[in-house]
Amino acid sequence: MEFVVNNKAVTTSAAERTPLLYVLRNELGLRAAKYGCGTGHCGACTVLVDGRPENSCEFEVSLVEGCRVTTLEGLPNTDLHPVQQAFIEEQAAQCGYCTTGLIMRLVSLLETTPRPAVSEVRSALDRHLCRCGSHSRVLKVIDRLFSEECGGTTTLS
Amino acid sequence: MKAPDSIRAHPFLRDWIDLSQQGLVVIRSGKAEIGQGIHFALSSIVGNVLEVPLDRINVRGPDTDQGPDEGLTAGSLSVQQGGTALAYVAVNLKSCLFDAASHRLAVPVAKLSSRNGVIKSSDGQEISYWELADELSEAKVGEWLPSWADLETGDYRPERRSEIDAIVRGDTHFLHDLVWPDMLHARVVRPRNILSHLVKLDVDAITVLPGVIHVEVNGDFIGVIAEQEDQAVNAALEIQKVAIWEAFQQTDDAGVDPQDYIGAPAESEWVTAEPNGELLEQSWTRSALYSRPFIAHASIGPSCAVAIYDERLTVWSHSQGVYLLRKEIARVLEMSESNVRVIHSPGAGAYGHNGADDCAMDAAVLARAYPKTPIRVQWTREDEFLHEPYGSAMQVRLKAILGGNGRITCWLHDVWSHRHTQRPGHDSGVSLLAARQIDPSLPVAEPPDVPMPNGGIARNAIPIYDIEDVKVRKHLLATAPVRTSSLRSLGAYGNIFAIESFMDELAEDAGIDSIEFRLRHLGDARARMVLEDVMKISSWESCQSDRSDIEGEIARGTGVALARYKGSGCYVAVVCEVEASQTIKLRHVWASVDVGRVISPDGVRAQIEGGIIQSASWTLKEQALVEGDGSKVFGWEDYPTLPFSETPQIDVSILERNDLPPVGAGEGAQGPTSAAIANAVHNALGVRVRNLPLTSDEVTRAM
Repeated sequence: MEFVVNNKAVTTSAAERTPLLYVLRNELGLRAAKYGCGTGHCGACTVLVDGRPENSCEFEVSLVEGCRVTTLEGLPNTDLHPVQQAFIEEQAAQCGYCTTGLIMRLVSLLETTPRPAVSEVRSALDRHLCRCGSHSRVLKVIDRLFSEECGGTTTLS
Repeated sequence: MKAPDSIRAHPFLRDWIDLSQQGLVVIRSGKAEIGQGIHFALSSIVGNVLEVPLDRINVRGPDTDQGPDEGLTAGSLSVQQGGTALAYVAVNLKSCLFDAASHRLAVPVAKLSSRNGVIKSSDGQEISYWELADELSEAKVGEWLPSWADLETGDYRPERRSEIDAIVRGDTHFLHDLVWPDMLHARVVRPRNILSHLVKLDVDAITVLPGVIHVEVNGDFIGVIAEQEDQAVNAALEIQKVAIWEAFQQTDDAGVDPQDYIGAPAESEWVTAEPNGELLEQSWTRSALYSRPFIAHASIGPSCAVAIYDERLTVWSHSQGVYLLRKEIARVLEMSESNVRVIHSPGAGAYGHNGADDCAMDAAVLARAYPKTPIRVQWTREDEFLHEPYGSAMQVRLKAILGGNGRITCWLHDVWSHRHTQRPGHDSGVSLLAARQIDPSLPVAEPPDVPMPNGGIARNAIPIYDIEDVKVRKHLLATAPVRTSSLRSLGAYGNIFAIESFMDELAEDAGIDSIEFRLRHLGDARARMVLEDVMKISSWESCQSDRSDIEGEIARGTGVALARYKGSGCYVAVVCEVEASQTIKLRHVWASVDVGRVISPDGVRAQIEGGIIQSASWTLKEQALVEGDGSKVFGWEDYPTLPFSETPQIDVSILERNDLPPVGAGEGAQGPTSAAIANAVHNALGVRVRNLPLTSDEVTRAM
């Protein structure tokens, strides 16, 4: 099976029904996406497939053949992505286990949805769970990224 | 400042702070980084004393082979114990460095100053800490005990936690992400009730599955080791299908429903002096029953562990108590403790005793069965929900006599509960699941309740108020349907919910505003300050008897609550505003906090915000339903939590008292938040909900 991960062509011999998450973490060494539930309820494993956020824990690897997969490691690493920068500025994590999934969800919203309303972005986060209670800080991240000029213009100072 | 006991056990400066790497200060802490930012707080304390910038300070967490044993990372004690120990070590280290510099440069100490790890003399000579480090290799922590008031807060206050940078960049941070070149993947398979016995498993049918390397069956314990992770997952699913377990015979539902705890068989004990018979026979002016359900820790990342059995056994775990875990592993595997090493590596937030230790025991058992290779055990979401120890359900009965002058004269608190701690390593027996399942099975520990003043069942059961006659009794229930152990704040969450709801009921009886009523019973000046401060920041109008407001179908209300965690920790006063219609929505929370000296303002703020949201989730949503033969929670669909879209606005006010010793903030907000929500619901709807969680069904039942 061939697909593109973070702009690099990869091949895998994993069984077709193997969850994408295991291929990314164990075969390709990309461990930012986390195992949280295996059932698509918590969002910790979120990656982008052709720009769309997907739960890689239940996304069979055969379905990404020919697709472009982006993980957190595929975001620019020297100049951080505005979403990553906002998480640092707001110190919007406690244990940080849910953070990767949240970042990938917001990256996708910022890059693909024209002018999303803040309320729309907040509802999109209901596909993610956080147990440390960093909710209010994550909402501050959203305000930073989406409140002023929606549709990808950030209000980073 | 009193020297912590940990200093006596680890008297050398090098036990705590290592200057052997040029330009770096390495702190060895016995306290684990569990998402609470403790390593950031400890760096700040040491950085300020040594005057070293924080990017030159690294913190190593607990490791049974290295660094100090500081017991558990629990009870909001990490700054109080670990921070105090390190402040004390750093002050003594700096004094030794200055003495050594004085000798080396032939300049009196009084003419030396330091900046960024370099000591300068008034005549222009310089020497760095690291050039002097060799001279201190045998130096012990001295006798000088500064008070916190003597220590300047300094310029080295951290702004950003380094762990957050690492996580956001995708750098390796979690135990879950560690890899060894020849590492194998394992899963364990358990029956729903841990007491069920294995009747039959066709091991050969599993061994032939793709990638399977070893199937371990030991007593009732089953584990499978495979080359690839998905192969281990598939083999475990197959085992689940074919293994035959003896049905677990549970005769009744004892201990399942917290609303029925009162009068159930229990071991009872007075926490205060025992009253004379007359007190119990008085005619109380008000009596009420409250309850909280079993609550899961429900970490976002299920437990994980890696173990290698070679000459020795080495285990990587996100346990909050590596020494207790080592003790139990050594006991179960009949090894000497010196041959077992447990190293802490961060996991997802645990909020107490979750599956971490059990998973580490699983990895140890499997590593011994398949030696010389790192074995990684990953629990599934279902493993975690079914088998982690839950925070215990509780029932509280309160009785009081309210005098005609609006003063409470007499108070009786009875609390029924299961255990609030069953961590591993107790002398009376074993606690971990694998230890109960393998042959020969060892007796199961029956640890006593945490004694007062901290308390487990009775934590925060003694009210903060000045009441002439207060009597408190705890009842440890005889039968528990599931294993229970420490969940953030232990019994304080249930006790404060009850006390602070009851205070509101009494205030209403007296016809006095809730805050005014509390202030009339409050001599503690710091408690008064947080209460008055929260009143100010929330624009609470004390004269307004009816604060509720109805707009169409939506009723709004506000409520207040107060506590000092454990009676000795941080003070937190909370005001909540709710909107009640078909459902209860928490809109706004104001909190005023006094933790004494503030080591890291943003750290305190983050812990209080997190505590408020966690408590809002517990109070409005969470309950782990159980029945006689075990938990009914298999996945997130059975266990709703507070979603992002229901996040309240939160305003936290910190009253800095830098002249007082610092205490932790991690468990201060949970109790008061629960009662403030219930009081706000009562204010909005006139309905008193006394059984948690505060769902719309529960509101309807209470109407």
